Amino acid sequence: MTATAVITGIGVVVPPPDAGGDWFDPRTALGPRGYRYLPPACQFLLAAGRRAVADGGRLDGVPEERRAAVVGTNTGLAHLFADMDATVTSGTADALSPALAPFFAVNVLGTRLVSEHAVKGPFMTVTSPRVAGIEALGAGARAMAAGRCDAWIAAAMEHPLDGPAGSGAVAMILERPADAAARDAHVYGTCAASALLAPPSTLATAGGRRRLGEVLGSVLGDAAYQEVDVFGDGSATEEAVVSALTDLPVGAVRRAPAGPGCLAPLERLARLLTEAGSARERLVLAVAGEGHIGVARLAISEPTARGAG
Amino acid sequence: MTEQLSTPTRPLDKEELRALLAQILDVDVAEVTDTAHFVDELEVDSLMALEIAVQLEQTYQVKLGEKETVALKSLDDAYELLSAKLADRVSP
Repeated sequence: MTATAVITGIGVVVPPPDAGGDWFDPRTALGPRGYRYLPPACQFLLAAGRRAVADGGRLDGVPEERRAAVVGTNTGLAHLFADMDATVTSGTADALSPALAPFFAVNVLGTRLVSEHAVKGPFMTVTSPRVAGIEALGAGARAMAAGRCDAWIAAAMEHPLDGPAGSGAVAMILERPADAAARDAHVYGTCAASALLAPPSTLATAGGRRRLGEVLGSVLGDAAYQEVDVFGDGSATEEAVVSALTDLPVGAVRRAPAGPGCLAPLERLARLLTEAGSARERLVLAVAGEGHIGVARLAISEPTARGAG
Repeated sequence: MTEQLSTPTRPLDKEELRALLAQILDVDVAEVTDTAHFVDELEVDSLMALEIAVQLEQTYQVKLGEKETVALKSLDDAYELLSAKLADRVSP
């Protein structure tokens, strides 16, 4: 069960191409106090969430218990775990920071976002490699289709060890088309997302690869996707997905490295939605060697002068 | 934590301690007056109290007991406690 939702707010917080390690100042981005003990990924997420709301993704018209949030991450705690490991293995476990200790649980990373936006409906963290950002879009849609929420924040946050490339966060606010129309909201486009699992052992057979093509075809339906972005990891799964796409009625397939986490596909979606000139029907996939495949189907609204905040 | 018993090279500097506490608590140095109450005025909760204890232990290479941590209510308290700890450490 899923639902098509419209995107009414987008927030992107990523380092500029030539950024150093200090590209993000939480005091400037978030405020002078209260953010010191948040892991950077959490800080990025908060900043992206605020930008998505400021961008027009209104949550204040939705009852708090009808707001949801789904956040994806793969490397959001990489630095914290590395630091904790170093502290413990150096023989000084007592020196672990008590203020940072709660973040040992990955689900805690998103709780500050949830608190800040008074999200009292479903909240979930998804962590499947590469695809978690797209899964955040799909999981929220399922919650809405099941009647559990009226709007949700879908987000991805990352803070890889070898950053700043691949660091940052993207947040989107989605709601029902009718609700957005009722408040005359700016709509970037509609988005539907699916998550598939194609085990590598299955894709090793001709029958398995054929089945992948059939499933992808059923997911895409009759829409004419002029351009396709595939974010992968160079795995056999990625090769199988790209091969399957060539047999489907889709346009040019553009491949790019997914990078160390799940942020790149969501960042691409944000760019497509906010940059004038994007083809109307777009497909963005994330693929992981473990067999995870995330599929985001976009129908982009008319070109707009608004950009992702 | 393994307590380091190296001899301090200089007396406890109250202004350095004030700056450290301000950094730990994420407040301006001016807010950490000698008597500003950690809980009532500087919004220290139980988690942050533990953070203060750990960072003081790390910075000054001392060990703080649970009761000593609970008794820390202000910069003056921290200064007195640390001064005593450091004095004990250099006593023959």
